[in-house]
Order: sequence, then C-alpha cells, then structure tokens
Amino acid sequence: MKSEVVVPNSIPAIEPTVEFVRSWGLKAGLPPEKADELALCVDEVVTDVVRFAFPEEEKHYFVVSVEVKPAEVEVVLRELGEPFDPDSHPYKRERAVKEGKFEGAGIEVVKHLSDHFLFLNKGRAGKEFRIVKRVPAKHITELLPENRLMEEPAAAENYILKPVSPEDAENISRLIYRTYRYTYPKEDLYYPKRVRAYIERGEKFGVIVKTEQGEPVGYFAVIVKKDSPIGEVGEAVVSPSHRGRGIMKRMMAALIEMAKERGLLGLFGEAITVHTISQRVNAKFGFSSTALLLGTFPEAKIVGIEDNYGQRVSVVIDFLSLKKREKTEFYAPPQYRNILKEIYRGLGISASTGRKRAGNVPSVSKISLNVNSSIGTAEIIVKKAGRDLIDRIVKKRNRLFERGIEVVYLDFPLLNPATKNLPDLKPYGFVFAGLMPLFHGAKDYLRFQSVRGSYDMSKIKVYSKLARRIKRMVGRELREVGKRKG
Amino acid sequence: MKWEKEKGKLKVELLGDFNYERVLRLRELLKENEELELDLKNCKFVDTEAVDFLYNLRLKGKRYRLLNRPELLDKVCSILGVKV
Repeated sequence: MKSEVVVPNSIPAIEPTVEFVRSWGLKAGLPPEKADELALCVDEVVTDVVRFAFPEEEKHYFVVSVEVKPAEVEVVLRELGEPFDPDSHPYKRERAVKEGKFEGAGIEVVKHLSDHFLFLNKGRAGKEFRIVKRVPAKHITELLPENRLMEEPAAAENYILKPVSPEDAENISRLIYRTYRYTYPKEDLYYPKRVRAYIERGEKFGVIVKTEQGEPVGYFAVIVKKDSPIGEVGEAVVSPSHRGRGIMKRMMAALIEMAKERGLLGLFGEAITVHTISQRVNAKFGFSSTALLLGTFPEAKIVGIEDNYGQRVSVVIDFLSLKKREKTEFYAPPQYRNILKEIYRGLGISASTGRKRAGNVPSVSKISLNVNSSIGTAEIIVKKAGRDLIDRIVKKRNRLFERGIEVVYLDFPLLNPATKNLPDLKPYGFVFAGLMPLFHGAKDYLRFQSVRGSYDMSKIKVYSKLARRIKRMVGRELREVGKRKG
Repeated sequence: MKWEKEKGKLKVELLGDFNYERVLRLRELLKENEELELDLKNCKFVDTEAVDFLYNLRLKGKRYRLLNRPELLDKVCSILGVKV
C-alpha cells in the first residue's frame, strides 16, 4: 500500500505532511511512540528541505510517499532542489554544547530514530531521502515455549494439503523455527504477525501440509513480485521426520497450478548455492537457470552448511515460464549475446539480437531503486540510459555501500536498443549476473552486480549445465575486478 | 498556540508539536527581558529546531520553564548530547 503527497516548500506545509506520515505509521501498526519517532524523522527532513533546498521566495514542490509493508513503513522524500550532501554537514556535539550551533542535528536524529536511513544524490534527477521504521512484532519464541516449538508431529499415513490462510501464520513460524532454528535468512518468517500481514495483503500465497491430526509439517509459498506478474517460489520447509514422503513435490505441483490460476506469467526460485538441493528440485519441475546472484543473503548457519562458510550466500535464479513464449529479440553488448541466447534456449525461447538502432542518448537517465536493508541488498533498475548513467550508478552504489548495503544489482532492459551500446561495466566494479526474465513490468532484464566483499567461487555450488556456464562467466569477471578469492 | 503575558513572563501552550513554525512564532512573541513558560502537553515531539531555540535561550542567559515534557524530548537530547 503506497500513498503520496505533493508538498509546497512552505513552512505551514511541514506539519500536515508530518501528520500524513504519522497517521500512516499508526495504520501500519506502529505503536504511538514509534509513529511519533517516524513523524519526528520526517519533520526533520521536510524542515531541512523547506528551509534550504530551494532559493528563497521561489515556489517549488517536492514529493513525500509512504509505503506500508508487512514488516515496515518506508517514507521516501524526493526533491529537485539545490545540491546538498548531509555527510558534509555532520553534527558536532561539542560545537552544539559550546557554541549552540546545531548544524546537522536533524539528520543525526533521523539516523538514530529510524531503522534505516539513506540519502541519495541523483545529480540532475534530484535528491532522495529514505526513512524506514520497522513495525514491532513478537518473535515466535516469545509466543510459545521451547518444548511446544520443538514438538515434532508424530509420523502420519496421510497428509492434507491446503492453501495457506492468515490463521496459519503461527504454524508457519513454528515450522520454520523447528526446522531451521535461528538460521533461516528471511527473518520475517519468525514473526507470525508479519507472516499474517503478507498473506492478508495477498503479497504471497502458498500451501500448508498437515497431518490428519492437524499438525503442520510442510509449507511452501509464492511471493508475488510487486512490479511484474511473476512470483518467487520460496520459504520451503518440511518438518525433518516427514521428509522423503513426497511432500515437497506435492507442494511445488500445487503452487504451479495456483500460480497459473492467478494468471502469473512465470515463477522463479532463488536457490541457495551452499548445496544444490533446491536447484535439483527446481530442475525436476522444469525450471531453468538464468542468473547467478552473488551474496543475496547474509551468511547464515543454514542447516547442513559448514560452520565457517566465510561469505554471504549466493543464489541461482531458476525460472519457469507459465505462458509459452516462442521467440524474442534482445539488445545486449556483444560479449553477452551468446550466453543470453543459451539462457533463453533453456527457457524454451528462440532469441535473436534485434536490429533496431539506438536513439539519441538523453542527458538524464531514468533510474529507480529498491533497497532491501534487512538482507543488505539493493536493485538499481535502469529504464533509460542517459549521458549521466555511469556517474550516477557508481555514486549510488558507493553511497549504498557506505550505508551498509553489501550487494548492488543493476538491471538493463533487454528490449531497449540502447542496451547494446553499454560500456564495459567491469572498470566500474560491475560484473555479469545473468538474465532476469519478465522481471520488471513483464520485460526481460540483463543483470549486473557489484559486491562489497570478495567471493570464493569454489564455495558456490551449482547444479545445472547452464548454471555452471553462468558461474564460469561470473567468476571470470569477478577475477577481473579483483573480487575473487583464491 | 495559546499565550498570555503576565509580569514579565510569557506563558505559552503549544497546540501541536514543537517544530520550526512554532519556533518562529515564539521568536516573534518573546521580548528581550521576558521569561518563558512553555506547556508542551499537546506536543508529541520537540524537533531539533526547537531544541536549538531552547538551548540558545539558555546560552544567552534567558530563563525558561518547560511543563509536560514529551518523552521523545529526552531521547532527542540524549542523541544530541545537550540538555534543555
């Protein structure tokens, strides 16, 4: 749920804007004191923008949007005012105490009272402030005692498979805890309130498998992508003593049917590469590998993973088309054309390079950004490449790294003829990742990635022939940018 | 904001958060030798513009008294390392 207001740069506009955010914060489930903290953060940023972003006496407008998510509220303020960098005006406590000068105090407070704060200078495209406040929720271990949580359901003859409903939220959190303890990378699944919110809002659908006694033993879901009619299969769990009975296969088959009924064009999996189990399951159901994403998840002690894995967990993107596509045209730099054709072939699509000429390059690029601060990744989506492209993506990536983001993915539209003229991105630290089919607005994207740490490619296990081919390409480019261990 | 002046004292009751707009209004109202009494019962927060205002009043030797401080004010002061 997203709501947006256009705000004039006038002092009387500050308070109603703050009230707008506060009321959305309360609606999102923030307790009043947390909604007040969010409101104060927004007051600080809006006040700075009204006072300093535009020349005095000139009338301007800026945009404040609030997005309510199951686990957090995100406020984004975008403005086209004068250049400004909060980092070059840091708050200095001693100066405030001695001289009463409070420069930088507003941003200092925002950094402390928000759960995530990001400032992005987008050059001629303006500036962006992002403030995230997490909605408090109770962890499953605060709701149920350990012995109840760890109770393994007795062996069963028959299993009943049903679509998940909001009432299953606690069962899902229990299953995740019982199976993975604290090691599952998607933290929200340990919080029944958040699981419930995702299901209620239709952001995910899935199946739950129970014994005849009603005890949950399996769960598998599809997380619907917000900007495209495709879904991610994930959050798969089968209780340890009920494995080997075909539960996972039944659940996957049911999910594929449910996705078709909902009119989704495809399903994808982010299969972890610490082992190849999930990749094998995906392959059995006709998924084909399209990309290798480095460091998607923080290093977690996943069951069965060696103690000192030593790097973030990378994933293979496996994709299943739910609607037949015979052929496609694409535009990509020459060095990636063959591998993209192979990836398309894996999806049953005959792909050829397009012949259209790229139009004039605009001065300003059109770019959007998605940040997932809870796992430390971000996605920069290039809609239109302009002359400022490299400068902007490098600055944006550096800023994200400074703010604790570990991996930045960079997507280019393969249907846009300008994509074939992309410069080599390796000198800027970006390496090949692969194809993201139907990923934004049902269009195919060529993905690159830039990582903060180094990666030992021998620890990344891939299953399919195509995934091995993609891994070789990623490894080669990673070595060239000096980010490959060993 | 509600206000009254009595024997060299400006008594103010803010009708919303203590923000930049109200700081400007207070600056207009508060005369050189006046003491300020500020009731914050309707404030959910006091922003850094207001903290700046109050702190500088004290630096200049002006007297003020805050009634019904919102909890968030102490948190903000602790972040900034100042007392108001």
